[in-house]
Amino acid sequence: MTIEKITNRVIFPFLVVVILFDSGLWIYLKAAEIYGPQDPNLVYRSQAHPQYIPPPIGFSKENQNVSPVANANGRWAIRYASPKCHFSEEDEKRWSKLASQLRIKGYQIITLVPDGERSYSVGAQSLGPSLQEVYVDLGWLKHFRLSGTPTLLIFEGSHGLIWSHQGELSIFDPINALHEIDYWGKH
Amino acid sequence: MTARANQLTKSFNREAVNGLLLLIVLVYCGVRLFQNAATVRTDRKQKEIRLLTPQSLPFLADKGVDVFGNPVVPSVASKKHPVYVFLLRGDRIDSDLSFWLDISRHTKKENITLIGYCDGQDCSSRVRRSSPLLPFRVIEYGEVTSSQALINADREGYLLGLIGVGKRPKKIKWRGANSTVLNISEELGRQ
Repeated sequence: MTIEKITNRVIFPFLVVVILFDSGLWIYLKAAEIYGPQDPNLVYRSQAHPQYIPPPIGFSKENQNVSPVANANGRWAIRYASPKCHFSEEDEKRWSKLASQLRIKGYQIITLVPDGERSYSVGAQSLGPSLQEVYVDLGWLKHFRLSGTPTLLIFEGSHGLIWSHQGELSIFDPINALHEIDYWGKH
Repeated sequence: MTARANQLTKSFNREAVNGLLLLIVLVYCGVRLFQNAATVRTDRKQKEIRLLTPQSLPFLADKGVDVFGNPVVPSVASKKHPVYVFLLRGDRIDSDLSFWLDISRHTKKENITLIGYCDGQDCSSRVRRSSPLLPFRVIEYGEVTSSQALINADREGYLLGLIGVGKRPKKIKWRGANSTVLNISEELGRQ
């Protein structure tokens, strides 16, 4: 078989198939992003949610008081995760990249865990420089529906909760989150 | 003629190599997209399950920090010694507190333990003021899973009765017109 035949009969048809396949997947991903349940209101328990919510006060596993303070712009984020959760582990790579972006933007990150048995050990890589709370103020918890790990909540001063995500972060989520942060930071 | 043939071969060679390289790049992109598509699928599935079943969270243990900042060690619950956990709401703290004080008076001979949870500052400051009178401990900072399970139950007017590790907590309706101190006390003592 000549090179011309190989090119025409094998490579080009393959190229067409792969291009169609990739396009289909890309459209699927985009549609999933656009039509997926991404509304931050979903994590609120009631419609009458407060505009400004301070970071939750809590206690560590060793019963040490943890009083996180949002930065001057009122920027802080909650990651609800567990070292024993497969989805949290899978999410680690994308989360750590987003977390470093959030820190650059001045976000105070607080990690909440389901319970003492499923808490990160001090100095765990997943925890990074974030604060960990094992026992959390119910006055804060009653506003939100934290029903599965990982969940990410991002707050911006008087705008309150500006972005949230339940489940693993997809490739578009960090981009969406940073876009929201930039948008609300200017308004 | 030979030179022309060589030129054509070279051109086809280049096309084939470019086509092959493009194919490799597109296959790589396809694999990455496929991995992400798999994540999106599981992710959406997880979300749907969670959103549809917010009540399915288990109450694991009455562990936490009380309104005075002291750690609360979980009670050992069993069928013979049930532990009842309930939420005290800040916006109706006086009626909630008096209800549970009455319940504790009616059930003090029973082999049960009562544990309250405060839903915020209004509740905890009121509880601190009346603490010498309270025959049960009140948790202000709880574990997320258990606290969420209790908040979910309370929204429907229930308290949770713990009867042992790994056993499904019993839900008892205590908020509502039909729930009186007498019938709730009887129900708690009957377990």
